[in-house]
Amino acid sequence: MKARRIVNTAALTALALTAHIVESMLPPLLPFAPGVRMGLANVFTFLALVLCGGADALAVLVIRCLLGSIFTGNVSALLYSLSAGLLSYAVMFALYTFCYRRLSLMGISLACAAVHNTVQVCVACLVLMSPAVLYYIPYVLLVGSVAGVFTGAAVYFVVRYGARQVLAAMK
Amino acid sequence: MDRRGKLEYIAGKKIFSVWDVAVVLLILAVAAGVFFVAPKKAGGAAEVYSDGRLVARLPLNINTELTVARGEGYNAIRIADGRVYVYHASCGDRNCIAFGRKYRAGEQIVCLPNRLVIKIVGKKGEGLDGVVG
Repeated sequence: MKARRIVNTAALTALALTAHIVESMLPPLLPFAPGVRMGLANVFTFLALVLCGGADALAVLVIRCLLGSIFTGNVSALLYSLSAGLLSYAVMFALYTFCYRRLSLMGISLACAAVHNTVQVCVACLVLMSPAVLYYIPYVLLVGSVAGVFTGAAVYFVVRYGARQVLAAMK
Repeated sequence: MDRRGKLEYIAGKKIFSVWDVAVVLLILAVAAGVFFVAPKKAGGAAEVYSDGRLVARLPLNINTELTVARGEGYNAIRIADGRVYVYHASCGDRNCIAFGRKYRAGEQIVCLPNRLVIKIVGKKGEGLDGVVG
């Protein structure tokens, strides 16, 4: 059981890390706000939360951020990805634990993407000591919402069409 | 409810729920709030480059006008209400006018025929070139 759990977490971490690295190679979505990304890696954090539980998802998130910053050679990005990742994870965890009856996975993912992007802009604001960065928040929220829809849809379809098989394999 | 039960429950639901609208509305409200509340004077100064050379550095908080000529062509630049824009130009396409009013650090107005670039720089001269995620 324990080995199975490690394998599952490792597999999800590897997938998240791959998404993280591939995404870091893509050009920024908004030419004027290079920090905004699609957050493909969040699909796997969310999936880990849904399939494996909170502790494993947290591990997937932290390891992905640490290794991602090392593999992409951009260690300064760690500050952004980890702070935003942890806060949005907290929101994701709380909503999934307490509001799953009302909110769909899509709604949780939207909220999570919004928090993620807002925190990133706020960290950028602190790091650059320039409040001008805050003007990006509206744009970042809107573009981030589109990404949140895709993340939510991806996780929903896995749960809907694949969860039984995945859980059976994880037993 | 255990994890498996929760998954079964979610798999039986639709992809979107009515309550998601509340999340969407909240996001839109915050976006609109920041958009309207944020003060408009974000950039510190507009740097005007003609042919790649810096010809002027105009603070955005002082209303002023400047006409930059290069050969036959010219662009008339105005700063008003903390924003910079091109209000008249000799070139045919008027692309530089279509850029509109710019005020955020990092924004640009470009006129290709007259080789004019207007760049907005931050208060301490810092643009936005260090944001990564």
